Amino acid sequence: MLDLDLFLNYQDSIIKGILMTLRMSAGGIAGAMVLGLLLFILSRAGGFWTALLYRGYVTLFRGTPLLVQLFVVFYGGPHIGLEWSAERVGLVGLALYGAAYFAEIFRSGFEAVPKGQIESARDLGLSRSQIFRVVLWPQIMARSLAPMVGQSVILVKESSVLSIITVAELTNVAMTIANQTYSMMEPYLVLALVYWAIAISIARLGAVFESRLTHYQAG
Amino acid sequence: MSHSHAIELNQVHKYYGEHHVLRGIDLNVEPGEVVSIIGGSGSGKSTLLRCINFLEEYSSGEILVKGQVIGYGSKPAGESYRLPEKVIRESLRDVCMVFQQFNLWPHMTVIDNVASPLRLVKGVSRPLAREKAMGQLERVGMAHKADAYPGQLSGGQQQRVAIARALTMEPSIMLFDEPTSALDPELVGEVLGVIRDLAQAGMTMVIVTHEMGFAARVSDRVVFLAEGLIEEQGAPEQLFQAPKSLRLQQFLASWNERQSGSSLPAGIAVAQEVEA
Repeated sequence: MLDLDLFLNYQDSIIKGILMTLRMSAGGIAGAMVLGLLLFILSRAGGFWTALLYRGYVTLFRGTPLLVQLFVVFYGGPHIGLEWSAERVGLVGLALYGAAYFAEIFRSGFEAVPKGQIESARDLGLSRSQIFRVVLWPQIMARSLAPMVGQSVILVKESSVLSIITVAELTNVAMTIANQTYSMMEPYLVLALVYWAIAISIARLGAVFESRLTHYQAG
Repeated sequence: MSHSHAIELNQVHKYYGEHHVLRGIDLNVEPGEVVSIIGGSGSGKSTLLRCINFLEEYSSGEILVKGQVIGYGSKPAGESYRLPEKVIRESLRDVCMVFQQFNLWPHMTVIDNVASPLRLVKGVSRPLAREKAMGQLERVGMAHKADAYPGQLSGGQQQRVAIARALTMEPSIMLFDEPTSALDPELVGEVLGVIRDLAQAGMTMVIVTHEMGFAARVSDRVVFLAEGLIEEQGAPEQLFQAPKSLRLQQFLASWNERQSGSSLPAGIAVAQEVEA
């Protein structure tokens, strides 16, 4: 049987863990989106070195595990004078890691816009920034929203990796409870339920935005 | 400079890498003149048009619009350099292009497609831009679809909206890049009708087209391009009824063959068809 008293005993740390998971995820996702957008703009700036920098960044952060990236900064950082708290390493790590994926999402959204639309805008005299803002960005957003929702859910789940570098988020709390009480079922069941609830909430939120952004495609 | 040409091309060359697409084009278009450019695929006709509004950079020679060189400036020492995009677009304000694929912006309604360039480029207020846009939509018979999205329109309707969008910028020169090639046959007529009205209103136009009958009817002059050079040009009746060069004769013959049933002169036969 499930031991419900366990939840009451550890109520405070569970709630703190949930809040920490939400904080890490939300901060990580927001940071990843902003940084991903900047990376995408960098990739569009043209020029050999920016293209190389972009490719290098994306392959590096998508080609190595998040856990390894966190280890490098958390345990390697102090050797170069970077003494960040576990939370800060976690937030920055999630943002850097997610940015590589978001940048690629924006880029493929851009690639999907027929280039003739840019030509007609140029011909009519729109400036580069107007073309981006008025012609491209709304379409990039419309095409990117579904994959952005998916990536956000992945980042929430990946935030569980932060438990390994001692961030007291939900997975870390659950492991602690399991270690202290030898109950495996209850803490991990709660853990799964909370991640699932967050994932569903993000998907619902995304669906609302998506119907607003893509109404023109309805035909 | 004293020339009054609307468009002037002097020895224009264009390379794509090794590929020599335009091999020295000399062409003048006078104000109010309608010039059609015909030729087989790969003859360079679309490239020529796209060089005029600088969607393609020409490699050498010069292109002038109303006496002003497009795309390049020259340093005191004589060598030329590419002007900033902003300056180029400024010098092309009088030129608008209509594309084969319409190139409307699918996330904006028809009225926003037509009104927003005026607002963004010329700083016209929103209400005035909409008013002018509605005027041009009426002119092409699309005012009733002002609130529709491009994806809800037929190809012919989209092309008419694209023409209205260009007209709203009040150009004195319009370039048409195969404006009916992407349309189903039954939709071609409505677009050609709009272009014909523009010709009658005195708009300077350069039209790249495969519609020989239409070219014969609306053009003051037809230019036949082959392998990046002007092979032959002249008044439509002369060009279609008495083609001089072998290449043009072959081109018209093979075009005529595809329009099975009609006989030479091909252009004139279809012209009557369009009229009916």
